Order: sequence, then C-alpha cells, then structure tokens
Amino acid sequence: MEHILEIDRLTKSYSDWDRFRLKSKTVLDNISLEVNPGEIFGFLGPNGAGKTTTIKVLMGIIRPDSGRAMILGHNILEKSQEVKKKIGFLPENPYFYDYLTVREFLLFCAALFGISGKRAGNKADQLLELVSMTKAAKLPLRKCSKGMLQRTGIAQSLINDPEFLVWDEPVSGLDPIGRKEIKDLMLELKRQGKTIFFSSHILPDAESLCDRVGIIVNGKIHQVGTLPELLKNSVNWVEIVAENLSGRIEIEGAITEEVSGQAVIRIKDAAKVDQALKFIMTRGGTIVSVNPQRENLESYFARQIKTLKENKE
Amino acid sequence: MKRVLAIALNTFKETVRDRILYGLIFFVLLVLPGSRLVIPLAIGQEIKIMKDFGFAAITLFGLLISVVVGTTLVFKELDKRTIYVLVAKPVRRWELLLGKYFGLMGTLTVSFLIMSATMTVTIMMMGGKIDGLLGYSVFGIYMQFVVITSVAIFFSTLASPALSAAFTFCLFIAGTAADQLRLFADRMPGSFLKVAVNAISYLIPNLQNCNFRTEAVYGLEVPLSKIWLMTAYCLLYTGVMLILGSLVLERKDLK
Repeated sequence: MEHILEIDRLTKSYSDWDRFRLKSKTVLDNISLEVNPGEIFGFLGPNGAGKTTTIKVLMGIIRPDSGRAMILGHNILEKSQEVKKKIGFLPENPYFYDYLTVREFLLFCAALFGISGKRAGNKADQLLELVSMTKAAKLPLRKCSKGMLQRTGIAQSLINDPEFLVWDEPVSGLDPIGRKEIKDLMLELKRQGKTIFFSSHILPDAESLCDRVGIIVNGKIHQVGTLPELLKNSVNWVEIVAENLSGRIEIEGAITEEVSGQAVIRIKDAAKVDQALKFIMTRGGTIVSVNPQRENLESYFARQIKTLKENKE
Repeated sequence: MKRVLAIALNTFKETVRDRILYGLIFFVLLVLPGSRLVIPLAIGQEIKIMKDFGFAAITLFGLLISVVVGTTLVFKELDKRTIYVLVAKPVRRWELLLGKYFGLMGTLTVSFLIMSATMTVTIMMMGGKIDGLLGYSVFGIYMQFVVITSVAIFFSTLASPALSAAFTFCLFIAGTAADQLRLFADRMPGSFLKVAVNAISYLIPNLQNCNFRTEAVYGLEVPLSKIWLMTAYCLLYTGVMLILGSLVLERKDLK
C-alpha cells in the first residue's frame, strides 16, 4: 500500500431549487490527492471551498457522483466496513448525544467497535486523560463547552486505536492552551506512526504541524505539496545581521536599521545579497546571520486566493 | 448484532431520559386509577367500562409515544448531526435503523408493562376478574404499536417529523378500519376504483387483526391460532417497513 488515502477525480454536486428551476452546483470538481503513511496532511481552503464535503465523502456520509477514494488500500464505497474499523473521524463542530455523560459516550463509541466491559472502560479512561477530560468524565454532554466537546470528539476518534485519522477543524473552538495541547497530541500520534488528515482555517497551526498541505478552492484542488515546495518561490527578502560595522552603510536597494548594536540589513533583490556581504567584509564587519525571509502560509494562501479571484474576474 | 444492541441501548437511554415520556406515564398512572371516580355512574357495568377505558388509555398513550418519538428519532440524528459519528464507524445504515427501532420498542415495552400493570391492579381493586383475554387484548394493542412504530420510523427516513407524524397517524386510523375499507371497496362504482381501494386496504396495516377488546370486555373466546396469525402478520409487516426504511436511508445523502 503506497498511500494511506488516495482520492482520484472525485466529483460531487448538489441540486437545489432556485425559483422554479432545479439548479445543480458542483461542490467537488474532479479532485485528486494522496496522503502518505505517517504524515500529517493539512487540507486547507476558505469557507465553502469543499473541505467538509470531501471529508463527508471519505467517511461515507454522502456519496460522490463520480471518482474514487481509497483508504488503506480499500475502496470506501466497496469495503466501507473494513475501512471504518481502522479510521477515526472527528466531525466539524461536533455535537453528541446530550443526554449521555462524556464517559458514557466514549463507552457507546467503543461498543460500536465491539469493545466492551473492562477493556472499554480502561480505554475510555485512558483517552479522557489524554485529552485532559478526566475531571469531566461524569459531566452530561449538554453541559460541556465547545472546547470540551471538541476534546470529547477527539477522544472518540481514537477509541479504536485507528491507523488513519480524519479530523475536520480539530483546533477550532479551542483556546490557545487547548490548541497547543491538541497540536502536541497530533505530533505524538504522528510519532506513534498514525497518519493524520485534517482540515483547518487556522493557517499558522497548519504551518507548524503539516508535512504536506493541499489547498482547495471552489471545489478544485489548487496546490498540493510540502510547505518548502509551496513557498519556495516566495522569498520576500533576505535579512542580514552584522556586527562591528562602522560608518554609513550604503547598499543599493537595502533597508538598514540598528537593533541592539547590530546592523539589520533587509534586501529585496536576492541578486544583491553577494554585493551586501562583500560590503560588510570590506568594512571589517562580522556577519552574524543571513536569513531568507519567506512568505508564511497565511500570506501565501491569501495571495493564491486573491490571484484566483482576479483570474476569474 | 452487537452494534444494533449498542444503538438500541443508547436509544432506550435517550427516550427514558426524555421528560416527555415521564409526563405521559405519570398521566396514565393518574388517569387509570382516577377513572374509578367517574365509573360508579354506570351502575353494574363498572368493570366493563373500566376495561374499555383502560384499553383506550393504553392505545392513546402507546400511539403518542410511538408517533411522537418514532418520527423524531432518525430526524434528530440528522438534524443534530450526531449521525456523522455513527456512519463514520463500522455501522451499517440498516443496523442504525434497527437499533433505533429496538431501542424505542424497549421503551414502549416498559411503558406497556407499567400501564397494563396499573390497569390490572385497578380492575382487581374494583373486584374484577383477571383472565387471559385481558392479556390477549393488551398484547394485541402492543402488536399494533410494534407495527406503527416501524411505520413511524420508515416515514421519518423520508419526511420531516410533522409530516411523518401525520402520515403515521393517518395510517393508524386507516389500519383500524381496514376491514371496513374492503367492504367500502366492494361498493365502489367502476372496477378501477374497486381494485384501487382494495389494493390500498391490503397495503395499509390491518390493525383490526390485533383488536380483541370486544372479546375481553364481553368474555368471548379467542382461538390461539388467531393470536399466532396476528403476531406473524404484524412481524412480517414490521419487517417490510424496516427493510424499506433501511433502503431509503442507505441511499440518502446525510447532508
């Protein structure tokens, strides 16, 4: 099995009545992507791009019009039972049975995998501890905050010790500490050999976690790749920090400032970096660092969306 | 089967923890013994009237639980999106529907036991005799709701709770008059109407098969074969409804 997830030309459209006319809207348009074993894959896109629809198709909640999706080597439409035994799913804005307590809900989820008795109890307690919900174990779900529901959702997605996790917006609704905990958990799960496919709006979090990302806009996959691959052509400037420089710094096209006794030189044109370094050396300066300042995922993402919109117009 | 049982237990918890159900049972527990205050007006007929009243009360509250809860169970799963978690687990959609059905039947069974026990105690306190006919009648009413709950769950896979409740209620009313519908069909002008009404009368559940109330009130004999036939008919009808409901749910996009 080469890929954990393989989406091949998946298409989905919805029909809706618009003033006496049945209109069809394509929400997924021939999307294809692969997720490799052991990686954290971020599925990114603006609201309404098709992220949740893709995840719903993968989980068998809705059916695609055409195309194919393979999870762990099985076609999700043909071998859904085999697939579902080995995956964990967290829906977006999870809402669970409010008449159950947090622990009862985990036991119910365990029973759906055929885990019962002491084994189910132990598993539920372990997971409650993992998501810092031990104290809330007996709390009815209707009394849980959004963050607590999110943690409960994460715990239920791990009840069967899955190989592959599909999480829809796992860090939304969490406070910064909660986000940090979930991010740490994702890295720990990756360390344990699990593969994680998650959608997110929170791009700095995705940037710090993902091995690869896929960007979906208007139901079409726009880019798929590692972050260095996506951001390779997006060096904004090169920042040179130097010490012991005396006199006026005159480098064409550079912006210079002094910070804590060091000269910070920012050069937009990468071709002029050599010239700047030579200048520092000839003036007897010491080079402390040379750092290309790349665009972050957030600004890359915003730029891509803007370009797409302009092209459309 | 373990998954069906897990869903059934969860549904049972859902309905038991629902305050509406407690309200209904509490009301029945008040109404049945309370009716003793009114019955003395019918001198010499107290026991017969109490039995009639009891059957009517059990039917009414059984219908309310079956229709109100049955038509909302699947809808609530879809509306609150709790179904997403279930469908993403190795749960087949027919298992989900069957689990929901058995869970609600569990609640109905407990309610029936409470209501029929209350009725029996009330009749005994009035000096009435408890015989097998009373048991047959309560069982007949129970079997009506075995069928009607499956009908409610089937409609809930197709339509909103309000529409499902309306359809189920209409089918219940029509079902209790299925034999009359057949007589009516025979008197229809034109062969097409005759065939159409006759076909409808066979498609709707014939709940008159389950009615042994007259026999219980007047102490008439009921052959055991009739009870077996009625049970087999109800289970068959229920099975067909649940299969149809599963087929609808199987093809449904759970948006």
